[in-house]
Amino acid sequence: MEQKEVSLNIAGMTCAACANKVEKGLSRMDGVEEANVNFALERTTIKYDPSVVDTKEFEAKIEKLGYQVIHAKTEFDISGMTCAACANRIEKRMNKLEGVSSANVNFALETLSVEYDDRVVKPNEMSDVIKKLGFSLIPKQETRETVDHKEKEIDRQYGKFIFSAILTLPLLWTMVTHFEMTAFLYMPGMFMNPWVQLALATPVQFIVGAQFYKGAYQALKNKSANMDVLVALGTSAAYFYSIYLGWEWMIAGSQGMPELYFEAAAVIITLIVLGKLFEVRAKGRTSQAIQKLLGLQAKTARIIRDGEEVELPVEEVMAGDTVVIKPGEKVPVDGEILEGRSAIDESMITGESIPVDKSIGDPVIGATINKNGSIKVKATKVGKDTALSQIVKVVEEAQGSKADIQRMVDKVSGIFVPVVVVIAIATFLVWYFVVTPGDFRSALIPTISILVIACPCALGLATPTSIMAGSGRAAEMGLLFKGGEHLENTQVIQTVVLDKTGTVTKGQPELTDISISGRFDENEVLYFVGSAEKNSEHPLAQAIVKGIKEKGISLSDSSDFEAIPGYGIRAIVDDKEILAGTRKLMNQHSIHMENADSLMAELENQGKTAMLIAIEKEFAGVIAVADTVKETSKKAISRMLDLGLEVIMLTGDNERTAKAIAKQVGISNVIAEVIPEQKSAEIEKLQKQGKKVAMVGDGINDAPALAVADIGMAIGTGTDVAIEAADITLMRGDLNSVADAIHMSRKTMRNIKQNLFFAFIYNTAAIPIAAIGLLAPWVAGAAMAFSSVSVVLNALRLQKVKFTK
Amino acid sequence: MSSKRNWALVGVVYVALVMVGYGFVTGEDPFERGDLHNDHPQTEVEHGEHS
Repeated sequence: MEQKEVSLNIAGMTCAACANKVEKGLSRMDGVEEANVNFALERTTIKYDPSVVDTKEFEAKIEKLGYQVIHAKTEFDISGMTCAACANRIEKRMNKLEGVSSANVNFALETLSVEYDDRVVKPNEMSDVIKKLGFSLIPKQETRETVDHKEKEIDRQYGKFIFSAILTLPLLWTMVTHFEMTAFLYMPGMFMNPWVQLALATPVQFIVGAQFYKGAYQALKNKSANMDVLVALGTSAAYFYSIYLGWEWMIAGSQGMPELYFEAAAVIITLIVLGKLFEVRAKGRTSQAIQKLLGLQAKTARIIRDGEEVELPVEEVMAGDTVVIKPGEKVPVDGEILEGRSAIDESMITGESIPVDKSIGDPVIGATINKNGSIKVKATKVGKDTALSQIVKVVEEAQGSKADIQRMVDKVSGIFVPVVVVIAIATFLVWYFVVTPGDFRSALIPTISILVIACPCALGLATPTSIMAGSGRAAEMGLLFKGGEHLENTQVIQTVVLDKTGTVTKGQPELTDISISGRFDENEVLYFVGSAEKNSEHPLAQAIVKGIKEKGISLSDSSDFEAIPGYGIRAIVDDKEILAGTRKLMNQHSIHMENADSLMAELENQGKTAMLIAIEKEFAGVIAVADTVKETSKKAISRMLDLGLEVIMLTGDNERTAKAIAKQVGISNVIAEVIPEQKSAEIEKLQKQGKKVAMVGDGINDAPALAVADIGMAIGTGTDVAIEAADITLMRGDLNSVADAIHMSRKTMRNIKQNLFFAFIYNTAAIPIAAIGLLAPWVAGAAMAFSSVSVVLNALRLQKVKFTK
Repeated sequence: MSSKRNWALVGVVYVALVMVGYGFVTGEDPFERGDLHNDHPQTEVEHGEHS
C-alpha cells in the first residue's frame, strides 16, 4: 500500500475534546492509517493511502465536523495569457499540483490566486510549473501566512473581550456592593434593576458567547461534548434562571430587588474569553522556535545571471545558480564554494559558536553567516530541500507529534466532559432533594460552578505545549528530535553506545608522530615522503601529505610511483628511491632497521598506524597517523557518566586501537572488532539485559544499530542515511549534544508531569469544592481561565533551559 | 479603526443607551445611588447571602 502524509492547519478548536473529535473523525475515514491532532499547534497530521482518499476529502470532513482548514494564500500576476483557454490550462495545472487546495485565475485581471499548504509547495515551485506551460508568474504580494489568520482572530477576540468587559463591569459592580463590607461603595440604583441587568447581560451572552453556543452545537451534533458544552450549559442556566426570577419579581409587584445571576453568566464569559486570549498569545510563544528558524533565512540572494550580478528574492534562486556572498552577509541557499575562502558562522544551525574555515569545494549551509571573505557558491539545494527547511520540517513534525503520555491524557479528556455533566446533574439532584429540599436556587449555583470550573482545557494543553517549547529550545541548541515520543523516551536511557570513528574521534586521520633516524634531517625526510605519497589516493597517504604541507614544507613531483597493496608505496623523488610502508615492505627490500620494532609497537599500542621510511635503501625513520579524538569528547563522556549513564564504545577496529582511544576519553567499556552487520546485534544484546539503550553514530554502517536502539542519535555532520535512521539528529558534531539531549528530555518530561499534576489536581480539588457550594460561579470562571494560562506559562519555562557547555 | 476600538466604542455607546433608556422609561435619575441592603431585606433573609 502506498502511503502519504499530509498536515493541515485547523481553526475553531476550543479544547482537547475538539481535537479528539477531529482525530476520531479522520481516523475513521477509509484509507486513513493514522491521524493525529495537536490541539496546541492547531494542526492535524494524517497518514493515508492516496489511492483511497485525498486531502480534499480530509478538508471536507474537518469542515463537516464544524472546523475550518487554514491555508496560506498568495497571488501572482500572470503574463503570456492570450485567451480564456490559457487561464483554464493554468488553473487546471495548478489544481493538480500537490499541496494546492484551490487555484483561481482571473483572465481579465491576469492574476492567479492560490490557496496552498506552504509546507508542501512553495511559490517558486508554482512559478516553475507554470513556466513549463509557457507563462510566467510574478508574485503579486507577500504570502499571507496562517499567522495572519491567528493575529486577526486574536484582534477579534480582544475586541470582544473589551466589549464584554464594558457590559459586565456594571453587573460586577452590583455584585460587589452586595457584601456588607463593601456596601458603602457608590452604585447607581438602575444597575440593580433586573431589566437593566438583562439588557447588559444579553449581548454578552449571545454576541460574545455565541462562539460557545456554536461550538457546543457542533460538538453535540457530532455526538461528542467539549468545553463549549460546559460553558454554554453553565452560563445559560444562570442567565435563563435570572430571567425567570426577574419575571417573578415583576409579577409580585416589583417590590425590593431579587437576587439575580446575570453577573455570574457575564463574568464567566468575559473571563473565559480573556483566558483564551492569554492562552493563544502564550501558545504562540511556544512555537517561537519555528519563527526564529524561519527568520534566519536570507530574504534575497545576489546571483550571477548572464555574466551580471543581480539581486533576487531567495525563492527565485535555482539549483546550479552561482551565488555571490560578501563578508557579513547571510548564505542564502545550501551550496558548494566555487571561489574564495572564508570563516562561516554556523552557530544558528549547529549551535557551535566558533566559525568554521571553508574554502573551495567545501559545503555551505543556507542561513549561516559569511564572516570575513567574499565567496562564490554554486547553489545545490534550494527551497524546501535546504538544510534549514529540513530542520524546520523536523521541528514542526516533532512539535505536531504526540508523546505516549498524551495519548493517555487524550483518552481521559475525551470522557471528561460527559463525566462532568453527570457530576453536575447529580450535584443538582442531591442539593434539590437532600441538602435544601425544594430550593431550586441553592441547587443551581453549585451545578453552574461545576460546569464552569471543570473544563478540560488545561488537561489538553499540558503535554503539547511542553513538547512544543521543549523541542523548540532543543532545536536552538542543535538537537533535532524527530517526534514528541523521542523527547519523552530519551530520558529513560540507561546506556549510551558510541560508535568510535567520526563520533568519538574526528573520523579523519592526522599526522601525529615523526621519529627520524640519526643521520637524516627531519625536513628532508618529510619532503621526500610527502612528495612520494602525493600521488597516492589512500586516506592515510593524504593525511601524511596534509600534515607535511601544514608544516610549511613544499613538495615536488615524483616519478615511477607504485602502490603495493598491503605493503606501502615506492616512488622516485629527485632521482632518489623512496619507500614508505610496513615491515614487510622494508624486509622485501632488505632494509636494516635500527630500534624500529619497539617504536612501532609503542605507536601501535596507542592506536596509531605507523609507517617505516627508507631513502635510497637506507632506513630514515618512522611516521605515524591516527584518527584523533575530538577535543570535546572527553568532557562530554564525563558529563554522560555524571548523569549516571553507562557509556560503551562500539567499533569495528582492533581491540588495541579501540582501547587506546577509549582510555583517552575515559570509557572503560569497549566492544571492539564488530563488523557493521553485527552492530545492531550488539545493541539487541544490551537490550535483552533489560537496558534502555541509545546508539550514537554517524556512518551508513551505523544505520541498522541506530534503528534498533531505543533512541538513535545521528551526528549531524554524518551521512544522510544515518540521520534518516535516527530519532535525534545532533547538528553539532560534538558529543556534548548527547548529554544535552538527555538533559532536555528529562526537563521536558518533568515539565509535562508538573502540568498534568496542576491540571488534574485543579479539577479533582475544584469539583468537590464547587459541589459543596463553596465556589461562586464567577470565581469558577476565573479559576478555569487561570488554569489554562498557568499550564502554558509553565511550559514556556522550557525556553529558558540552560545547557552545560 | 481597529477591531478593538470598534468593539470598545460599541460597548460604551450601548451602556450609555441603556442608561438613557432607563431614565426615559422610569423617569428616574440613572446615577441616583441605590441602596441594596435597605431595598430588599426580605429577599436576603429568604435566600441567604448571594454567592
